[in-house]
Amino acid sequence: MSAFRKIYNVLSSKTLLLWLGGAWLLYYISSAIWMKEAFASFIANLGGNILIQIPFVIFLLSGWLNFIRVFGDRFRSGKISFASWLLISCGALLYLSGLFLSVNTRQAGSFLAGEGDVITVPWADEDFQASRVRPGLKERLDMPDSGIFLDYEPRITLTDVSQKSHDVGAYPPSKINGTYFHILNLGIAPGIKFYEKGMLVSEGYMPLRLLPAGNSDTFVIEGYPYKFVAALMPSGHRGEGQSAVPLFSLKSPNYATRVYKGENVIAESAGGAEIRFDGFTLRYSEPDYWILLEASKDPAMPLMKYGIFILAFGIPLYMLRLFLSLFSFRDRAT
Amino acid sequence: MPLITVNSIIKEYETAHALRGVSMEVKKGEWVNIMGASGSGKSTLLNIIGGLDSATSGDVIIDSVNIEKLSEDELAVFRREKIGIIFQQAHLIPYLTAVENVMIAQYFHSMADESEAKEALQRVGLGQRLSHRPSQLSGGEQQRICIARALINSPELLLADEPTGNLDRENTKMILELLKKLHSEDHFTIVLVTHDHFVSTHGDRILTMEDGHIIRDEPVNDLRS
Amino acid sequence: MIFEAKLIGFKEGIKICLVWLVLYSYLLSKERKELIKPFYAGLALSAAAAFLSLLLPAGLISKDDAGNIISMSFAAFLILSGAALYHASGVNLFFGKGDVRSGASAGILVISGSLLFFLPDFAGSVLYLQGLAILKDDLLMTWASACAGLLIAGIVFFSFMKFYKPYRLGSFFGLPQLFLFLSMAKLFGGGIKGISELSLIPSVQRGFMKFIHDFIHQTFVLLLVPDHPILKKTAWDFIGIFFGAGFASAVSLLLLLSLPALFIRHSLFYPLPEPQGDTNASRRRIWALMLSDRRKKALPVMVFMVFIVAAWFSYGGEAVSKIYKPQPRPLAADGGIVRIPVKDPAGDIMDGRLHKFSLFHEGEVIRIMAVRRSDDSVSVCLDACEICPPDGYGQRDDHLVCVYCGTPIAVDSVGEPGGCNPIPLSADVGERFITIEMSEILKKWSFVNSVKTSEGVK
Repeated sequence: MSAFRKIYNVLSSKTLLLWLGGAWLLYYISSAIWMKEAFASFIANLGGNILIQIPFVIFLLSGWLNFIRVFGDRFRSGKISFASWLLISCGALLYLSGLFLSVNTRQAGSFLAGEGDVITVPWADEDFQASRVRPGLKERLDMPDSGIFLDYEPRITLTDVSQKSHDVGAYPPSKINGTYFHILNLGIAPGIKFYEKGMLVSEGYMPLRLLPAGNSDTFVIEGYPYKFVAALMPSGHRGEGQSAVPLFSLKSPNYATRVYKGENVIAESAGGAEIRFDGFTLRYSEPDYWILLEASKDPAMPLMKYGIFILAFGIPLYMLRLFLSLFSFRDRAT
Repeated sequence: MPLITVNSIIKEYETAHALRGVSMEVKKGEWVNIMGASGSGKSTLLNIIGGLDSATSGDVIIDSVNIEKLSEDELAVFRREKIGIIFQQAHLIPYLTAVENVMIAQYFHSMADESEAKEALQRVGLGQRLSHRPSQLSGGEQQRICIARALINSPELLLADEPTGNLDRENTKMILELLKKLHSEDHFTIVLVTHDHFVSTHGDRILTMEDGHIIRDEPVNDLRS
Repeated sequence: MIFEAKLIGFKEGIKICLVWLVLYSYLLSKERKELIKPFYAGLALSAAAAFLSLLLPAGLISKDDAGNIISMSFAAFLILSGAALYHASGVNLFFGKGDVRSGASAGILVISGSLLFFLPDFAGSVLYLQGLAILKDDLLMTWASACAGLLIAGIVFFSFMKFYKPYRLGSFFGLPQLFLFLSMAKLFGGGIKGISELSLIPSVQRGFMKFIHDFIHQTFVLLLVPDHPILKKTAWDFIGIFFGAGFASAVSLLLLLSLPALFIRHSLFYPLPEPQGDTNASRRRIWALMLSDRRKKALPVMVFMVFIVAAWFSYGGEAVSKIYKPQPRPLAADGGIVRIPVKDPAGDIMDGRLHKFSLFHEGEVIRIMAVRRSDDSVSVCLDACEICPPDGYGQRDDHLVCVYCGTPIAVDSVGEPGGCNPIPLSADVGERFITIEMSEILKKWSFVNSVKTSEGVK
């Protein structure tokens, strides 16, 4: 038997696969017991530790060779049996191969953007402009008990240099010129005008974490010794007495503002569009929305996605096969 | 080496002697008929050979095992493995079908196997009667189920106690032909108790008993001649 | 008598008796009765080594280390049982070149096995009893109680054996089942935390749930699925299921049961080899023996499964719902320095529990927390991470749990920056006070409550 054949026989054996699986289990359990964050360290090692990478590649190779080796036998073993085996093993192998490639090749970053901002993706040659942000928020937020307010999906329109528009949502990610984009988070950015003795000195949108309503956030205006603490206030109530529900308007929010100079509160308002102090005026205007956009260039993403997708079909089919085998089992005893 | 060796068997009841020192040997593959009048001890001898009854003294050695020395449990296992028995009464379970009656024997031996049981019934000519209950079958047919049942676990030894005792001549002939066929094809060792001279003309040897003794041992051919 | 010490002694005693019974029955059925002697040797060596470990310098082996080694030996027996099952069912794990039984001397294997099984448990129990003796300030009574417990276990067992000798138990155990039994004995009796944790179930449960959560989290991150509620509520509710404790608990139970399930599948559904025999009856007899043998061997596995499920849920309900969220204690800055007392009437930072503090600064409430890690160092962090809205953390056993997204974070990794971990603060941990610079707190806090960039107003 040639050396090549011998190597092939070992690589395509179930024995090797079991040994590698057992070794991984032992490695994972040991690191989980002694180092706690075992999965994170495994993923980190998969991306940079050759002692983990080499066995993992051998495992993948052995998995695919086993897959090819038993394909014929499985094909003859019956339709449901074959289908469930095919989906599960193919799905798992695709996912694991994708995982390895992804961990080693992915480039990713996140960008905070409001309407009109330009996003520069380092690994792409072109810039994108966030030409339109649609938060999907209702204009009036009823403060729900659950605290989950995002009863919608935000969307952003990115325009590339050739003026082509791309629509990006939270999920699934949109692929633009080989890079995946999706929205990771969003919030409101109140429009702010800052006047010194009646003169407009600063203007713009301030991205704040004010949602869910009740959160407060702070900001400063550069060059001035003031600190502002803002929070959303109800614009009205629905219902009466005990069952009154506060209503929040996002179109023209009502802000509670407190102004600090050092440790001292120098001005405070429980609502309203502006606050005056020390000859300055801070005026809120219609808010904009900010979006935290995640971008990722990952050639292995389809592998993982289809792997999971195939697995999602394979597992129920495998269960069905197990269930059916309860009845088709031919024990000679009656 | 003989399959069965009976050494000076004595069987005493409180008031009577059923067997008074019987010795005999049966070779492997031999068909031996035991004849004698009622009360001569032939059924007692058969029961002792079959492990259904024990002797007051003496040894019964079957396939090198002295069954008189076995415990109840060991004897049950031995019987299950080595011996098939046919009685005058069919002793079939009335609410089971023919094939189920055979499968019961398989079950107590190891495990039931329907196809094997069907095959066995086909061999005794009951292929068309598989799902009939005993009450739907004639005496001869019932006795054939018993033969299938006795032989299903491939015993070394087939014991038959007046297997044709309550059958008409036609059915008796059929049963005997069947036994002859099984004996010549599968080489079963058969010990058959009968008082019917016609029955005793089948087989290899006839032992005649009287008052707890074997008084004659002669080959069947001699008798015919 | 000290009840807790007696309980520990009793537990170890019952474990020894049960393992002896199963092993002895197994060896009897394999006609290798002589191998019980190496088992006794291993048992004696384990006990001797465990007591000798008391002579080691204090702190060289901590209770946590002993607990970790027990968990490792549980895992080792579980993996061995899987390997033995595969080996027994046709996949030769030695590439066709060897056999477990024909290789190294069986005696050495038995000694090593019983050392692997008993030494960690004994060492853990000895450490626990030593701690208990110090706590109760009565060395003699502690050890006497433990010995009494051991004795009671022995008496209970031997009086049971006097009436009923279940040596036929051997027919229910093959080598894979034997290993599985050993790992189960560990699972149900491997805890060394006294009454609070007699078994390994809670830590196994945490480990499995952490794995499931991390696996899902990692997959979602790689597939760019938002793991925070950004989607339509219905979609998030669906995704949220995968992050929930219920899902993790159920899947981890399934994972733990998958090996016993594999045993059952082998025992009940795998095709038997065609039996060899002269007659139908003899083939049928062999077939029946094989069937009954493997059905018998499925029986203890089924019993284990029932025990696992029952124990899982009896612990699970509590562990999943109970998150410890302490009330924050107020702090004040003094000359740009914040001081947290290590030990005062309100609490002891070194007690292993989570401690929360609140600091008022320019109208904001800055939340700080401190927790002792297993190496006795104290980790001081903001009670918030960079990702989730500022809901902070709670504690469940040796994990912190993000109140908002439910991510479990091992206490020992608290203090490392990034991801779902709380934002660490550089602090000076002294004997009496933990000292933190106010500027450090403000710098880090600015990441928490705001998404602002340094540009200010754009």
